[in-house]
Amino acid sequence: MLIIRDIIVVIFLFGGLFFLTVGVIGMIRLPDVYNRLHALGKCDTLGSGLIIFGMIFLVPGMTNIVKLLLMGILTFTINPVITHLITKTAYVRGTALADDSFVVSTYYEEEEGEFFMGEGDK
Amino acid sequence: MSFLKNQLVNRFQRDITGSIIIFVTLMITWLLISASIDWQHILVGFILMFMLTLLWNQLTIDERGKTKVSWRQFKLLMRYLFFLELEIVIANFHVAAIVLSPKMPISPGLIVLKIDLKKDLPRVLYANSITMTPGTITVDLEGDRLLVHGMTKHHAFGVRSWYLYDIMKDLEEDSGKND
Repeated sequence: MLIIRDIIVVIFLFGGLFFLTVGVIGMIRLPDVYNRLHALGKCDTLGSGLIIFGMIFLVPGMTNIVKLLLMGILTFTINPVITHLITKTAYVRGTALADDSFVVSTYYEEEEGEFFMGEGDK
Repeated sequence: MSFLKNQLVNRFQRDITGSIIIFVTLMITWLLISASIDWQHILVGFILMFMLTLLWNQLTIDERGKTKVSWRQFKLLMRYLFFLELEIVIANFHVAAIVLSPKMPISPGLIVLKIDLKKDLPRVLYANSITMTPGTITVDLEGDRLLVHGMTKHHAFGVRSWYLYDIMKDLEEDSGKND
């Protein structure tokens, strides 16, 4: 029984480790700030979430489990907010996009049937 | 003292269901963390949570209106969260596949998106959902327009017709504050 539990825990921990590693590799390889945040913002959320979920099987007692769950919920709420903040700061400062990126600064209004200018003209 | 009384009356006249929901949630969390059912713990928790519920009066997200709770809304919220989790896992595998492949097939770019959500809380939830899911990050939220950065062209344009948006739209239509 303990062995089964340990196997489950190890699967979750290594899954989390894999996604954290992917986040770091992405931060090194990708070209600009926005793309790097794609790797960091998403992979760190799932990575730390998986590690926390794996730890739930290990810790004894209800209190610790509740604390871990709170940590998980906080990670899942705070992480996108911080990602969004960093991206917005970079955008407001006028950080350059990567070389071959496209900018679509219009959107299609269905009722009126025409294109409108949007926020995205840089 | 009169300040406190005013707060009390104001709070409970305006939104009795919301107050009870906040109080019960805080109390359950307190009891689970303190992990003992002495009368001292319960008393201290009761006083603290009561004060917090009063203070929450100043922090209401929705300006008007009372909290409505409906079963349909709860079901929709659960459905939304389930599909969100699914999308997060899929997003991570997409990003991992892009990052780990030797050629790195990215075509990044910015795109403007129009959302038709009226209230603030669904907007923020939807923007955060976009940040967490396949290859897209919300850069800016201004009025009813979202500025989204996509990792590939496919991801960026895919967010224009996303099925979670319909669920969020349904959710907003019969929602009070607590969606």
